[in-house]
Amino acid sequence: MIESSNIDSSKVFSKQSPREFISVIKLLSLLTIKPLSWNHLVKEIDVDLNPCFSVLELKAEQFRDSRVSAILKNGYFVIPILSSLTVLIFLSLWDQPIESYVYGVIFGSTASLIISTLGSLTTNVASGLLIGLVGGISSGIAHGFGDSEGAMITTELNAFAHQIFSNVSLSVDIGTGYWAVLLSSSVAAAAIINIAKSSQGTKIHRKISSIIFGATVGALMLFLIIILVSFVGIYSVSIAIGLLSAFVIWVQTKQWLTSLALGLLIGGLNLLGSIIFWMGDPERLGFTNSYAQIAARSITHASLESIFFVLIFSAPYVIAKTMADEISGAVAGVLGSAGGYMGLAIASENYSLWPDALIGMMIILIGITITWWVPILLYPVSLIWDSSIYFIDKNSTDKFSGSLIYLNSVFWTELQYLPLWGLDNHLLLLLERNYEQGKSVLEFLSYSQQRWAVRAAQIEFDARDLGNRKTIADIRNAYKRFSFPNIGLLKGQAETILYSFSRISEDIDAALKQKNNYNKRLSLTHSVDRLGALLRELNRISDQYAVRFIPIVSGWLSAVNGQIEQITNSLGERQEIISPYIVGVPIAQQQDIFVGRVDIAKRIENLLIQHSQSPPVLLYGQRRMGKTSLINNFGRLLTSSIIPMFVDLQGPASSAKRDVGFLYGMAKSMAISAKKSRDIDLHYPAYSDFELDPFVVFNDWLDDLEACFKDKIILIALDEFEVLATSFSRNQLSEADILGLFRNLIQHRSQFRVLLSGSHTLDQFQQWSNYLINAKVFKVGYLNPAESYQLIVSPIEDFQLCYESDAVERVIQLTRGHPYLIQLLCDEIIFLKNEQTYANRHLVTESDVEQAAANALEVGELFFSFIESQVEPLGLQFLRDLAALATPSQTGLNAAVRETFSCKFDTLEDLTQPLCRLDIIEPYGNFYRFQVELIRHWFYRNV
Amino acid sequence: MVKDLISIRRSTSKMTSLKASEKGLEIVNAARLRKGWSKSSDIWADLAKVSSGTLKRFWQGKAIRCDSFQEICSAVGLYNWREIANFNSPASESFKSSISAQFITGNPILNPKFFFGRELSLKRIFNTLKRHPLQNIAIIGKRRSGKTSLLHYLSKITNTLPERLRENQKNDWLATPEKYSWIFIDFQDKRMTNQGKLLGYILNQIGIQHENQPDLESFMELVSSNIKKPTIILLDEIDVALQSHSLLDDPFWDSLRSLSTNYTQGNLAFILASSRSPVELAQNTGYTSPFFNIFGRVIKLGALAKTEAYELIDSSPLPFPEEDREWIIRHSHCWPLLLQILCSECLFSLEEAWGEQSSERYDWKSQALMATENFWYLLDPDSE
Repeated sequence: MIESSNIDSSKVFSKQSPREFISVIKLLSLLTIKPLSWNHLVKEIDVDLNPCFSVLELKAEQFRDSRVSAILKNGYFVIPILSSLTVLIFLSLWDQPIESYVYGVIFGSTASLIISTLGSLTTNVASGLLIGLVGGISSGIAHGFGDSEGAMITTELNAFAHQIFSNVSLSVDIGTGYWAVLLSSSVAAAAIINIAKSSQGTKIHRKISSIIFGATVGALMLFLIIILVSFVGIYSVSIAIGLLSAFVIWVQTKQWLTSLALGLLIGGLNLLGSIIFWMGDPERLGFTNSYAQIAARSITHASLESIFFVLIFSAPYVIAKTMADEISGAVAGVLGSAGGYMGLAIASENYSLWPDALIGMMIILIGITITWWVPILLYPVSLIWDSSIYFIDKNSTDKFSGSLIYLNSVFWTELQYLPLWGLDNHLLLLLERNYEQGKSVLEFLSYSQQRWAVRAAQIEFDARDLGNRKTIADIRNAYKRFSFPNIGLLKGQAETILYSFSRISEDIDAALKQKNNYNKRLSLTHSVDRLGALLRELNRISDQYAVRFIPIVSGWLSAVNGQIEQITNSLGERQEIISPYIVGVPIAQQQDIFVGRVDIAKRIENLLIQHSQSPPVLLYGQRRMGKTSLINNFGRLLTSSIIPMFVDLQGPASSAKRDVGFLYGMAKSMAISAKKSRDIDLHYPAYSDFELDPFVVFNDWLDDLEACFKDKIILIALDEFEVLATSFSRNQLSEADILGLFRNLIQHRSQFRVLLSGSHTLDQFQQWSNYLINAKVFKVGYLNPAESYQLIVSPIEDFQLCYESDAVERVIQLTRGHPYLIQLLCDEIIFLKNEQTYANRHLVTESDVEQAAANALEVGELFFSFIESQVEPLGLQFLRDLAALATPSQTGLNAAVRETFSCKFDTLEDLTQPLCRLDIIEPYGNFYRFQVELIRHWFYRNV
Repeated sequence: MVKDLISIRRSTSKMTSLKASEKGLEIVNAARLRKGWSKSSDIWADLAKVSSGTLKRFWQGKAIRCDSFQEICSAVGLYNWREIANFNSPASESFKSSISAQFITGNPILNPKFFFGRELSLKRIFNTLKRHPLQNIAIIGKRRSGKTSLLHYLSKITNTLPERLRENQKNDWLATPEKYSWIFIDFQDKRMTNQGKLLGYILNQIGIQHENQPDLESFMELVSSNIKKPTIILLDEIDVALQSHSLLDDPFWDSLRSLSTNYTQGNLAFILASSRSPVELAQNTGYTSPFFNIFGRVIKLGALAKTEAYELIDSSPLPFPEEDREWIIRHSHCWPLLLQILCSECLFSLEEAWGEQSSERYDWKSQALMATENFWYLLDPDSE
């Protein structure tokens, strides 16, 4: 987390090298109000170094780091000087004797030096230096003011010990040092709490127990020292201090020798100080000058007191720290030292529970919680200040003025945990004016307490950026400049959404890099799916940001769809000729390919209109001749006073198991057809209505139709009529009722006309003859040459293919205008031409037609084999022989050939008659010939 | 003796079963939730053409047949089944080795990447399908000529991303492939010859809510009012359907015809595959329905073009010697199945020689010819 953010707030704006000079002011600000920067600095020195490092933890190469030495120099030299100066200034505010100045200033600087040195050794550098300053100043002032002899911890201890164990009533003032200790230790704790990261893994009960344990040990040690003092004598304190130091250092370093050596050193120093202080009168040591005496006393006094103070803080600290974490250590330290000291003071009855203890408690509490209450106090000021800066920045036209943000309070204290209202707007402004600078500011702040503003600014900035990307070229590049360097760091719904955008943009980029348009399109379609899914997701979730992103997704969707459309269009412009022919499926009204049939339509129309009681119309013709296509196109072929309603009896009739279904299906088909042919919306009864009494309901409906279309003729065209026979024979439909219905339609409903189509021979209508009296028969036959020509040469507008005239002739000759065969053959011609080079592609020659005809026999196999399947074996033999004999030019056969056949087949007429009825052959000259040349090819091929 | 050897080897390669890994099941679970299916969804089982028991075993992480496994995955939209399979189990051991087997000799080819040739047929088919109204196509070819593989290929190729295909493998047959839906019906699956189940399956595939086992009437009603996008029904092994005609009767076929021609606005087409002309079949089995009349186009499957055959041969992970390539072309006559068998034998022999670090190969050619013996009818022009 920290690796990517080796940024100091000052570096965001300055171009200083990382090895800059660290002034004492900066050091103090790092330790107090910029814990985050302190953390960064430590990590910069060494990634493995704990922000709460002690001097003992430093390795040799870390000592060599200029920043470490700068910190230590500041701590050991500048801070003591600073402390003494502060004490001097403070004391000079009051009129004090010169001795007080000397005593206080020297006390302050000595205490400061010793606390800094020992504190950074036994606890950690950060709190050691800070406490050095605070302790130095506070104790210096306290001792400067106070009785130079009375305010002595060790004196107090001694007195206290006597009081308890010897029942000697001594009234010794514990002294002003009391307050100094309380304040210093609570400030030290606050500094540690600030800097140390709470270890997430440690359970709360472990923390609490470590605090209690640490504090108890601290208090116990104090107690032990008192016992030592009372039983062994005051000098044994030095031994205790030596042992305690050794213990504390051992806990930190786990090195016996170092601990013992340092313990010995500290204990020795303490002893020396004690001897000087207690045993020898300073005058006896040769200090004649009274100031020198004061100074000597002050130095020894401060040393003893400071060593003792640091140790009673660090002992509980290291214990709790080792058990839990630094924060627990800090709390234990405060409770163990200041708390223990307070307990001691109260027990000695020099201080009362009220108000002294309470004030003490308050001081501890205020000290520890400084991190929490200072920001609250600062908040209103910050807000006013920040808003003013923002206002100036916003209204400034100078584009570099965005840098005013560094004046924002977020940069001078990192402690502010209350959301600095308006910071997000300011960040946004910066991002928009100077993206690079904004990015580094965001990166820095993303670890601060104001990361909410970073998040809000980033999201809004990205949303604006995404929203501004309207073209596909912009969208494909979106992911490249996403302002989310640490996408995994900030987690929330909005980030997930932005991440989706980024990935979709990346997908789109990848899609557009595809080599061919087809794959481009395919991949883009996937992106559309993802955008669609994102849109649905956004509509579903209730996140505040979702609403912000919905229009952006819509914008992207339309851009990508536009691109897809563009690609689709370009795909359509390929050089291949697209076949317009429809092979094997009836042609619906909306299809342009339908040609001809005007004459037959005219004749049917005349019949329908002229007779008020027109007979039923029978439409017949070979399979695939185009009966259904003709009926489908009645809409545009017949006059508008006729409403054609088409019913495919294979549909409803085949599937219906009862009359109800049949009649419902009929009504539905009629309605659909009316919509298609004349754009009339017909309402028809629901299925459940029919179930009451199907025929009555249907007849009622017909009545309604009649009433509705008074001056119109309704033509009910029943396709595949013969299917009814099967349904009747299976007893699924009631024959009498349904045929009765049709007869009623024909005979009694003057507005209705009935057209039947389906069978390809007239014979099959015979069984319906009862019902079809006077039926007018129309045969759907071959297209005439002109119609054929149109279908071949210009089936649709702007047809790309040209035919040589021989080629058209050949197509007509081969197919005789059979609509299916023309379409089959022409479709094959297009397939063939598309395989040829581009130069040859657009002109059809006769040889192309021949080649395509051979293919057409294969492709149209089912059509031909269906014809074959209708013929008896003998007839087949005849057809094959005929196919083999006839020359392609159909010149007919001479009498000799006829002779051959007569011999072969005794009753030639019996054989040929059905074949003629099937429209396969026809009489020609003195014999027969195939009606369609292509069909002859089929039989010839299969000889 | 040699034949035994071959059969043993065949059987081990067929024994391939797969089971899902835990991570794989999580992926599948996410995918099925997106589809809104339950773990034992009938729709799913239908789509994957497996029984609900198999689906259950799949969820339990038990070994199921490899092809069922793939179908279950692809039905839920996961085409990379390798990601889902657990290859660390002993059951998958035998499969692991056969993954490298490039050539598919037994089952139909389901993965478009391993389908070769048929360029002209594909062009004819897709040229027809990219126009409106959709038109019907009959594919006729001898047994084992690759009809089923072709049908599977049709249904998958246009929606397969290029990274899942061979380099330069054409997939841009349709301009708007995502608009098409493909329904594969294998009449060898017994359930498909039950009219109610078949209709229910088709409705499921189109995505229409329906009652259990709909009748023809409600099927017609539902389909005619719900088909909005081009839908192609692939009818595999139609011969079987016609032979069990007691269940799929004339009205059934009539209805399909009527739907396709008049009631779906040109959005429904059929592609059937059969080893014999369906007209002849229908006549022989006593059908009168003009259903087969709507198949205006027939595409006959024969041998592959020579260039296509070479492409198949050259897809081998170990390159074949020039002499072997020619030998394979000569003896397969470019029939895809024969090519696949000969190639797989050739590859096997190369792998063995490679494994034993020897340049000598066993007499793979005679083994290969023996393995193709049953399919020599393909080469006979008069056989059916």
